[in-house]
Amino acid sequence: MAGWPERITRDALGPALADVIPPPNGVSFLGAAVFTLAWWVLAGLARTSSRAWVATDGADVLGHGEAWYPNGDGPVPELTKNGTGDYDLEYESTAANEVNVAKALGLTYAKAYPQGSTNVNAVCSISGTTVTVKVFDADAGTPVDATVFVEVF
Amino acid sequence: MAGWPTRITRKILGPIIRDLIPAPNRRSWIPDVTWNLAWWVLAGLGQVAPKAWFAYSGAIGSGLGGATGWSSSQPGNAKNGTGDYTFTIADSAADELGATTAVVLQFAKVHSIGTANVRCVAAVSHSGSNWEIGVKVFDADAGTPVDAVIFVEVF
Repeated sequence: MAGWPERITRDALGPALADVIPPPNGVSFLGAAVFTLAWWVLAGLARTSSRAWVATDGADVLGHGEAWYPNGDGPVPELTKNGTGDYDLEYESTAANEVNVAKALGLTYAKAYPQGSTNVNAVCSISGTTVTVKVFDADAGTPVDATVFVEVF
Repeated sequence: MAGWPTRITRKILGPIIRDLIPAPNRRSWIPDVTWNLAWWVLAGLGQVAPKAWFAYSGAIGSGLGGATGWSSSQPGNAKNGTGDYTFTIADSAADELGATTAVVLQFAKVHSIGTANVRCVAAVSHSGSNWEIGVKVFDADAGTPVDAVIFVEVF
């Protein structure tokens, strides 16, 4: 197992650590306890965090970030507007992990959050690496264009 | 570039690490493969994590907790009317070196907490020396503004 786009486990970071000698001090030496804690927290965060986010108004992608592009240099998800309030955001099918091995993204769920001040609702579905977002006027129940922020797990 | 309020990259954590000598064992030595994995995962988390979160009760007009990636302080809050709240976060903050750094906020997520059929929307804007997160809460049945407890994450 390797890292993003896959979620790591604690085991992927190696066994529980043990000091060869007690750290002489905590300023210049980091003991096993520090790394045991850090690896525990890091793996836990990797289990529960979202893996990507993207924002769109239906015309443009307004921002994006992907855990599997940890330098923030990933390609912009491809936006297709299918109709009013109906957007597809397509990611590539694979991405390289930290040892440059291509891995399937394995996207599972997405959540969409309307941005703005009007009563709008948005829902998401995922098929493969395409996230479909549908936006509705929550009063009228009709499709409407709006800016949405999407988190992908 | 440094850490929060700026999102780190993998590159900021240094180059790919190589062992000088093979790690004699993995219980007392952390080999390069582990460092490279850990830094990859850490930087990836830095790309996707919310920069701030907070909770607020619209009924009592009070913050209920929150933090930013760079501080444990809660944002300022103001109730403009029923179901209409504004939260403020300063547009600069100290990074891990104490250097004053611009805070950039773009988007927000808001959830209602409770049992009522409530819907929320949020918007991020800049005003003066603050970022403002405007939140509006609606009764999802009637479509009218309503107060609720909300949980907000800011990106």
